[in-house]
Parts: sequence; C-alpha cells; structure tokens
Amino acid sequence: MVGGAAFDNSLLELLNTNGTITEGDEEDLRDAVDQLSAKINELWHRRLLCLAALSPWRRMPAEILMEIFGHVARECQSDSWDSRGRHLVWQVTALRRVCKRWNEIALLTPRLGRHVYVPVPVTQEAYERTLEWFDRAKTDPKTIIIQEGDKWTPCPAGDGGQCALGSPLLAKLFTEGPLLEHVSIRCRSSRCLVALFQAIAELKGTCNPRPWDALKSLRVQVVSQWTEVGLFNKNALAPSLFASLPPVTSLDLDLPICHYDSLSHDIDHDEDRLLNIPGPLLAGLTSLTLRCNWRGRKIWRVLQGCQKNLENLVLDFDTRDYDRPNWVGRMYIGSPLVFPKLRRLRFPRMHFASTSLIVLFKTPALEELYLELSDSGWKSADAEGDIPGAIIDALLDFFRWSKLNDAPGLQRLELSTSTIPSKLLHRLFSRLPGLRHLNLIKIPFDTNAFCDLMLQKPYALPELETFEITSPFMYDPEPKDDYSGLTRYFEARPNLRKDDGTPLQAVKTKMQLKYIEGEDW
Amino acid sequence: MVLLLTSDNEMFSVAEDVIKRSAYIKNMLEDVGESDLPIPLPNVESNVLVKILEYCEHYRGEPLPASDVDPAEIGDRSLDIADWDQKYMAVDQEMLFEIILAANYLDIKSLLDVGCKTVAKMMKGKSSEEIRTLFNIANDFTPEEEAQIRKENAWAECR
Repeated sequence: MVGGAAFDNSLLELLNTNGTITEGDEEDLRDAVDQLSAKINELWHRRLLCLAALSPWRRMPAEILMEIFGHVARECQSDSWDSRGRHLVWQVTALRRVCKRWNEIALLTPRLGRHVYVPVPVTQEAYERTLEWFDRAKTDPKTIIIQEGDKWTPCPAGDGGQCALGSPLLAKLFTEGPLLEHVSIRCRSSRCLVALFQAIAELKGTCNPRPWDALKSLRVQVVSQWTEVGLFNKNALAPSLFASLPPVTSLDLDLPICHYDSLSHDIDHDEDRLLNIPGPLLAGLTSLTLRCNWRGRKIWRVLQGCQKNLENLVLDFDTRDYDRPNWVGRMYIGSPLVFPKLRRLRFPRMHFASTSLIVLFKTPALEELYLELSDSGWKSADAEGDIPGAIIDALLDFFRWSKLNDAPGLQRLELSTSTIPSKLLHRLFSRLPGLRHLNLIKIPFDTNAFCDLMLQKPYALPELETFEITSPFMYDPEPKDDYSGLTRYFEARPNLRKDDGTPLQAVKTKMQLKYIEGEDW
Repeated sequence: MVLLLTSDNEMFSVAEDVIKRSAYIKNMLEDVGESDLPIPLPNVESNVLVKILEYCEHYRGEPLPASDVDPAEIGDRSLDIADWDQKYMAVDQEMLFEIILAANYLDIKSLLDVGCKTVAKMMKGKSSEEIRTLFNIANDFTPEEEAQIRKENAWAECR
C-alpha cells in the first residue's frame, strides 16, 4: 500500500542498503509511482478549483466587467484597418466562452455590439447574424466594416462579372437594417463602389430614412484601380461617382496612388481622376481625410468646397518621394483657403519642399497642428539655400496669417522632421504663447543650445503643460545625457516668472527613444 | 485632515485635497461637514488604501475629471495608459483587482479607468482558455454550450 507504514519501512530499508531490487519490488515501486502521480494530479486539480473559487473575478461587479469588455473592444478597434473587424468578432467570442457569467455579461455589453465585420458577398446567415449582433448595441452608434478582395486580383465587375459589393443582402442591410453611424469600405476599384451604389439604389427599403441615407461617417479605401468615366452608362455623360454618396458629415477617402510617368503628365486634364465630389456634400462636411496624391487643381477644388464647416482636416498627399518642389506650385493655383471653423489640421507624409503650401491656409480657430515632414533628398549642407529656415518662415507666416499668435491660439503642436534642428524651433515657440501641448518627433536635439534659448526672456511657451520628445534609436546614441539637460530645464521652469510676475506653467514631460514605423534607416 | 478607517481597523490621516479625488469621500465631506470622526471604509483594506493614496497623492493638484464626461468616449487617445500609471499598475493580480474594486467603491473614475484598461490589455488577443488560465476562472460550460457560442460567431470569424 502506497504511503502505508509497512511500505515506507521496506522502502527505507531498501534505500539504506543500496542493494539490488527484485523484479517484484520494481513492479511494486512502479505501481506506487503511478498511484502517487495520480494523486498529485488530483491534488493539483483541487488546488486549481480552490484558486478559482478564491479568484477576485467572482467579486467583480458586472458593471466593471462591462467596462473592461468595452476597453477590450476599443483595443480591437485600434488594430490595423485590415484586421480590426475580424479581431473584434474573434475577441468577443473568446470573452463569451470564458464562463457562463462572462457570456451573460458580454451579451449585455452594448460596446461589444457596436462594430461588426460583414463578409461579402453577404449570405442569409451573415445578414441575420449581423442584425443579431447589432441588437446587442441597443441605441449605441453602429459601424459596419467591409473588405472586398485584394489589390492583386482585379474586380470581376471590370470584365462584366458581379462584384461582391453588389450583393443584394448587403444593399438590404443598408436600406432595411439598423441605423448606422459609420461604414468603412475597402475595395479594389471604383467599379466595386458602383456595384454597391447601384444595388442600394434599386432598393427603396422599409425605413425612412434608409440607414445608408442617414449615415454620418464614411470611409472609402480603393486599393487598385480608379476611373470615374463610363461607370454608369457608357453612352451617356457620366454622372459623378461621388453623387451616390450619402450626405455624411465625415468623409475619409483613400484613393489609389497615381504613378506619374513624367512631369508632363497633366493631371488637371486626366478624366479618369475627376474627384468630382458634389458641392452640397462638401459644404456639409465637418471632417475630411483625403489620402490622395492626385496633384493639381482637383484637390484644391475639393478643399475650396468644404471651407465653410470643416473642423477636422487630414491631408495626406503622400509626397514623400517627390523632390521636385515645382509641382507643389501647381497644387495651389486657386485662391488661398479660409477655414473659419477648422480646429485640427494634419499633414502626414509631406515632403519638406512642400511646406510652403501651408501658407495658403487661413485657420483662425485652429487648436491642433500635426506636421510630418519627409526628408527625402535633404542634405544638411544643401547648396540651394536655408531650407530649415524657409520651413520655419513658412510656419511663422501661417501662424501670423491665421492669427494663431493671439490667445488662445494654437494649443497643440506635433512636429515630425529631422530637417529642422532644435535651436531653430525657438523661433516658432516664441510666437506661440498659448501652446499647451508639444510633441517633437525625430528632431535632431542640441539640448544646451535649445535650453539657452528657452531661458531667454520673454520666456517661450509660458502655458506649456505637456512636452513629449520621440527620437528614433539611431539619432541619439546617448539619449540620457541629452535628455537630462532638458529635464533640468523643465524642472526649473516653475521658478521662472512671466512679465506679470506669475510663474511659468509646470510641464509634464515624456522623452523616449523608439522605433518609428515607416522609416527607412 | 480627513480620518479614514479601513476594514482591518487601521486609521489613516489624509490631506483633504488629496482624498477629494474620491467622489465618494468628497460628497461625504460636503454632506457631513467638518468632523473629528473617522470615515469608515469597510470595503477597503489598509494595504489597498496605501496604494490608493499613492495614486491620489501623485495627482494632487490636478483638475478632477468632469463628472459628466465618460472617459470611454474621449477617443483613441484614451487607449493609452500614461507611463506613471503603467508603473503604478505593475502589481500582482490580486492587488490589481483590489485597486479596481476600491476605485469603484471610492468613486475615483480616473483610477477605475486605468485599472480597467490595464486588465483589458491583459485580455486582448487571448483565447478563452488563456484568459481562464490567466485569471483562474473555471470553465462551467458544457462542451455543447461552448460549441454553440463558437458556431454563433463563425460566420464572420474565418473569412
């Protein structure tokens, strides 16, 4: 018997003698090991049960679990566009399968039902499940994410086939389903969009307004082919592709890149790329994101159309690879642009030589500016002149022209470039008395020179609350030494006095080295 | 100063502007007025209160979040957890949950939000089995029930 006194005594005797064991002893011992292993497993299992019973999760109120689940959903939404919809469904399933209580709470968490990825073409099951999914969201705003095909295979609609976006059940979802806040569509060509628009147009729907017509926000990404000609009827004058868009207030267009064979290519007369967005749609926009390198009057005309109400603007011309500034001149043939309500302006992936473009914007209500300058072709000893100085001059002209120097003025500035050395930045900062948040990315830093300038009276950035600096690994092999000077400066700031005798604002700092995505080093 | 009495009968004397980050205490002080009597906290142990006070002390002087703003609605930026908060939350699981429960009881919205985000980040990308193991949760589903849930979402998962 394992653990019995007789067994223990004979085992001890055996061990003390170092003698050989008989076949019978060996068999007994192996049995004993097996029995003990089974007992260990049983005890381990019981231990897990006790731990599970003690788990603080049992005391976690349902409303906190719902809050946590909501954060998980938000985390999934921040994934890359390609995968976020699918991740969310997978993650919700994982949460529901943890235990019965979690399943019940997940089904009662509206946040988990807000977004859904709908596979196309839409099957009857997918249609019904989508409606079930959205039931969970109750009155929360709802988003549908659709992805059709990939950029390597052409849309069958181009050869007279059926595009999956023309699926009647997808159209039914947009005409008879629940009201939607946002729709994200990623497809191969403009012909896919036509297939969708035509399918929607054919259904009157049972709701008034139809969910498609009441949509507030739309993102369209076309990854491969684009044409706006002959889409609806080859024999008639083509109506605008964009005329079929609902009257959204937020529009995000990501259009396929145009490869210019030479500068003689005249995009202004390229009829495949009209970008003919109806005026009423543009006038109603409060938010516009345009990722499009179609230079020339067309982009300018779009911007002119939405000057009145726009509050958020992201212009991604993807001009990283252009080192010929003369094409930029073609961009703003029209008059300057005045955006009286614009609060947030972002220029990602802008070539440094295109910075002068910003002078043509007048944005008196601007609170946040993000400027990411690409440094392609840049050399610090550039023979053509003082390029960093010219960039600073352009920004100062923009601030002055938009009256951003006056209170409350610009509140947040994010600047990403390796073109402008830190000592030149003081010229900018001394003109931004209301700035509260500053984020500098990739700026080559000379701490001593920068701090010396910042300590000159009148002190720059008196209202600054947060300061972030992010450097790529390779710029700064000894970051601690460099940043310690900055840290000392910011620690000393509350002891400095403004002209009116009040102390400068204390600043929260975040200084970090990290890999910056999308950069070639 | 405000006196706080924890569930394990430890008394804490805390500056009023520090503990007013707790809406529960703030409201109580406003309702009761000045008093020498300690405020009992029957749901908070002393080791947890020490941790809570560390948080309140760190954010001393910072404006309290507006009560009508849902932190979940602030936007994508709200997904980030500040560096200091991340270090603060680097505790064992038991303490993490106690902090969340105490933040909920004391009505410290910003701390509750950070705690929930921290746990959400721990869960993200994990399968149900991994989550059970991570948090010591028993699987009380029958295999049929579990398969049913999987089937319900299969239409969108595997395309």
